[in-house]
Amino acid sequence: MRRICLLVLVLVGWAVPASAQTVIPVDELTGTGAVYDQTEVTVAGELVGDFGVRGDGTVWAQLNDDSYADGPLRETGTHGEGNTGIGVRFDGSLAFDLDQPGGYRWRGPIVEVTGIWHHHDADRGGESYLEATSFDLVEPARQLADPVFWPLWIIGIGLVLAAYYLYWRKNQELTPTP
Amino acid sequence: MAEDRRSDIIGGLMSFAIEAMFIVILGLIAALFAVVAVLLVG
Amino acid sequence: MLLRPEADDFRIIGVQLGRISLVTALAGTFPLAWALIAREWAPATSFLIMVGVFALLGTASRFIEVRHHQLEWSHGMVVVALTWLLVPAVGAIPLMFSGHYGQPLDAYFDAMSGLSTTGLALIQDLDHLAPSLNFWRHLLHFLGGQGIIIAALTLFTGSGGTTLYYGEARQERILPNVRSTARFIWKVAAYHFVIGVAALAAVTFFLLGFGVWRSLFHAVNVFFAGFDTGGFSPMSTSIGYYHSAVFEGVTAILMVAGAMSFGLHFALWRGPRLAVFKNLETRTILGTVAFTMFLTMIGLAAGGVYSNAAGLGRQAFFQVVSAHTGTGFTTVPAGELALWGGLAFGGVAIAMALGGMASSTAGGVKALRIGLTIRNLVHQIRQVLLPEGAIQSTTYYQNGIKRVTPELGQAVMTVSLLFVALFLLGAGVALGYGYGVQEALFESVSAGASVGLSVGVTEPSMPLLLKLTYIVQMWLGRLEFVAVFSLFGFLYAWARGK
Repeated sequence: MRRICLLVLVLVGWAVPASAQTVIPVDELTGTGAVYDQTEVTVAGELVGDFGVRGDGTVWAQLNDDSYADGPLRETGTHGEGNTGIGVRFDGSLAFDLDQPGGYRWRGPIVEVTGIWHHHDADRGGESYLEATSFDLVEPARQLADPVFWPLWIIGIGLVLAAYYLYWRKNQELTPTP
Repeated sequence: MAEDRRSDIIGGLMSFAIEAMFIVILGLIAALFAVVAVLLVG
Repeated sequence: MLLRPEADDFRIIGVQLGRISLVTALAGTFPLAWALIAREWAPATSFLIMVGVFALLGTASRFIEVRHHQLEWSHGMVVVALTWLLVPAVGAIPLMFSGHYGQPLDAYFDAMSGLSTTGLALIQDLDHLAPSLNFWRHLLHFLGGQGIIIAALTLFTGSGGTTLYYGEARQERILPNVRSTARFIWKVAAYHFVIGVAALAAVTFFLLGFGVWRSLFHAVNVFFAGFDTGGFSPMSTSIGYYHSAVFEGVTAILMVAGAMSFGLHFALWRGPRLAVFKNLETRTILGTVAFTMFLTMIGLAAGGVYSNAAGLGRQAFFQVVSAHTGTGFTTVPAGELALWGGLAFGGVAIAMALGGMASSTAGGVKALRIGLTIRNLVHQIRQVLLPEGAIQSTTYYQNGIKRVTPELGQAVMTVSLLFVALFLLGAGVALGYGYGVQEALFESVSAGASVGLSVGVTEPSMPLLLKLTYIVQMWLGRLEFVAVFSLFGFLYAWARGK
């Protein structure tokens, strides 16, 4: 009986879109997004890629809430699965202090975005995205280090020089001595 | 030599144009199919 | 009984592999230059090591002295099969050093997927990957798609090029010799590169509002993956990242261009341009694209996946074109694609299995074989219905009128059946690990037909044996069996022959 009650609770919790305050995982939006269509949701994560400024003044970015959002793999070394992200569209005026989107050199800004989830939006040819209405900057973007491991440089240069030496040796062999 | 290059440029542009035209036609067919699909079973 | 290979046979294979290593070393200098210019020091070191290994293999092979043998058909086939194992192994070095892979096999998987223009990926945290490494992943598509062998043929003269050429699953040879054919293939690629990159960069810069350099970065990478029907993408959300119908349209043009046979490119380039529509291959592919697209749309409409015709049309169009050309770009997340059931699943899966045209970078059974299978079937039925002893001939048009012969029918059926067996092999392994029938079949067809669409089976935590199975499927599917079987025969003869 208790199990059934739990199951019902879980199912109800899953079926009823959460209030704007509860943060919804991106996985849930990409998997069962239809449930949230046209409702207000809040997602949290890192903005990555590009801030594409369109002609209509809106900005598009990708929001990832995977395990790499806090610390990119290159920094933490903690392996997991691939990235999980959704498209976020917001008015240009909202993007006041977002700085750099996440990428190789930057861990992008961590934001909490509230907005309307459009699942297979009929007006945009079936695209799914979040139309942001408010942004909370949780953590600003920060630069990532590009550590150089010197022994690898030496190995690389050594290999190329060795290849060049063999090339030169063979050419010496091929040139007829006068 | 120059003539070769000219015919290559024309050829290259023409083939890209035909490929683009092909996608446009395929897109139109897709649109027609989509309308038919929605009307039939949607 | 097969003849046991002599030491000289190994030498001749070694020399050819060395030449190909040199070509690949040359290709590796592009991402190296990119990393140095962009001051991405860690990737730069790994590229230097890769270039060093390729160059060392190449220059060392110059010391091999071939005594009396000439490059024969069997050597060529073995060289091709080994090239496609060696290049991903060395090409995976920078990927491995990047730290974006859980284990070396994952990096090898991605390098094989890149080279075979598949596009399945095990990379983790792609969205933080260095641009130069991302460029290398996409350049692997270009190398594998245009053919490393083709590159080697363009740079080195020598006898026996033909066998290498055919080994890479290219059947047509329109120009009088292999070298001029190879040159023409590069010319087509170069023109498409200029126009394609310009078009993509214009869209990303003017319509999507990306910065200049970022526009170029996206344009170059998407071009390589699209024109070579690869399917890697610069960002984890694939083409869905761009949220633009225009961008999808330009990408679709590139995918179709990539899936076109070399003969068709030649006809479009030099004319007569409209004659190509008489070809059995062109007509077959038009028919199968339309058929699978219709199937997918009916399935999506019945499932109520999209609320209107515009959404249904755009998403089904892109996914089917991507599947049929063997590219693997997607605008819907893997989790959502997995939910496309019934006819929508069937449409996309059939499109993947059928594939593009012969002598293109697309995988799958290929349009000409499908067309010929149908013609052959018609021929057989007519034979049965006609009075005994009546002689009849069935013909088809493919750059001229040709006859359907029993030998041709048999050859076509053999390769088609091998593809079916390949698809079932991968599906069987995945089923053994407890994956559902639908996802096991979908992912297996995707790997075997070098497509790259995924319903979520391919992920870093998947079983090791399944990773190995997909690697073998990608290798076999891209080379269309013959070269790989030749390698097995060669090894068997070495072990058992007299």
